[in-house]
Amino acid sequence: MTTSVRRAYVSTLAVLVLTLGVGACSGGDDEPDEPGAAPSAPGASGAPAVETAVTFGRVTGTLPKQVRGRLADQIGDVVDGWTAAAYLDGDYPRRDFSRSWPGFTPGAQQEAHRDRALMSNEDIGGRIDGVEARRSRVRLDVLAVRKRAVGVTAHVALGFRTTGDLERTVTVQGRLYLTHTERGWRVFGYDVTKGAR
Amino acid sequence: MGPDTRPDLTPATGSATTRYRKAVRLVTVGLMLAVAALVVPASAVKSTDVALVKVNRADGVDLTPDVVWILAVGSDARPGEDMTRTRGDALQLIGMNSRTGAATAIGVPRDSWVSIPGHGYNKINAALYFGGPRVLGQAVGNLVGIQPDYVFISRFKFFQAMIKDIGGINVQNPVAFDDPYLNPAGFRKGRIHLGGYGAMAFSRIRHNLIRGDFDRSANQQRVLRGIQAKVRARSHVPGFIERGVLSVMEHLYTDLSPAELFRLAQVVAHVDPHKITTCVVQGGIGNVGGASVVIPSVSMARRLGNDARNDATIGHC
Repeated sequence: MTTSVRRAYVSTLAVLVLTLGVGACSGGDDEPDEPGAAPSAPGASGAPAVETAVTFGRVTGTLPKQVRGRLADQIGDVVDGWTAAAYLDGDYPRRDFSRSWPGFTPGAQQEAHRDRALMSNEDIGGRIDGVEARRSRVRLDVLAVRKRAVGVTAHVALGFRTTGDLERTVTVQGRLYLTHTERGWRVFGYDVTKGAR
Repeated sequence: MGPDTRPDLTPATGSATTRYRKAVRLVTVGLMLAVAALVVPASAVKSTDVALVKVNRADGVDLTPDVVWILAVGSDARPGEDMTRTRGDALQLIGMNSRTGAATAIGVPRDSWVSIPGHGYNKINAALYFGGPRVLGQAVGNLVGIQPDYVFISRFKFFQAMIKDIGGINVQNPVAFDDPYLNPAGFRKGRIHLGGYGAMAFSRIRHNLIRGDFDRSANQQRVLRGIQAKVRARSHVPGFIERGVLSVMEHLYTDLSPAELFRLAQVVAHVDPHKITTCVVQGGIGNVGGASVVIPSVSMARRLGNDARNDATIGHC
């Protein structure tokens, strides 16, 4: 069985409220703003989904608050598209990971394919029969010019549990680099670690 | 490199090469690298608190083509002068391979006596004065056999400020040297730390360097290595690259799009210091009209270009 992720754009304000139980204020371009994007649909499996929390880290330049929610949604789509295709979705045992990088540029797809043991579950796909998402977080550092996002570093942290012959807790975390293309936001680079226990 | 730094990007004109038709753009590699380290944001994704049995890492950056060539120029423009119409005193043709993480720098002595397209023979640093960045790029490109995709121009005042902002750099200095005007106390041999002024002086002095212009060019490459190492070490800091790119845009004129700058900055940050190779085009000393010039070894320049063209790696100098 596989559990997917759904997503919510979570502001620092919300995090503070949740974690501290008190109100807080936000302000300045380096600060996140209020929630804006609705959570995406649960995973196709119908299993309880882990919600991807998308937050903003450093916003360099000016990015209107109303734009942030849309950006969080768009980048979240790309990141979730990768984590679903590469790790969480599919019928395990699984051997085909050739379509694991749907939101990547062609060159980045080639790079990721060379690194497929890390950039997908290619290394363990044949020895497991399911993946259960445990945690999914994305934090965005944004370069904004003339009130538009032109470059994003997405800090990704994904955790999942595998079942089958290989029962492991796997953590994937690192950075994805994205720019906006005529096909929308695309990952052109990455720096990712993958570990298991 | 020269005092005071404001790069300029000038669109290509004419029909020199396809690359130039596409774009000759002036940015400042060193400036971008240094500016990129101006701000150090603090937040970060919290790492997992699991005991990892094994952690592997993968990284890659897609830049088309895989190898990009940048001519980094230090102008000797004085305050008030247009640095794109003065002399280019530091000339480093830098190649970066986004697929392998390799990078190379081919140094060209500024007094190299070469053909400057449309302007006859002269010192190569005069190409900037005569024809601007595009012609300088062509002159260096014709010598080495690689036409740069971008031309970066800096002035030293800004360069100094940015070196200072990143907390200085470390370089491995092979021989002690000094200069009565720029640095009377001199630079000692060994691993030394350079602040803004020190990095500028280290790049400019040739006073008592045994091989003069050639050794100075090699010192400029040591400074570039130091900058890249510093930037790479800090590139993981959240917001680091974004702030750097914005700073470049605020301080420099460029017709590179912000997204292009962002991608290029990520490539710079992903260069592996262990895969950096550097060479200086050698030559003999000559005299033209009473002026001391360098007669560059064109065969060596072409050999270096041929060696590095496709992978940004030089086997040997």
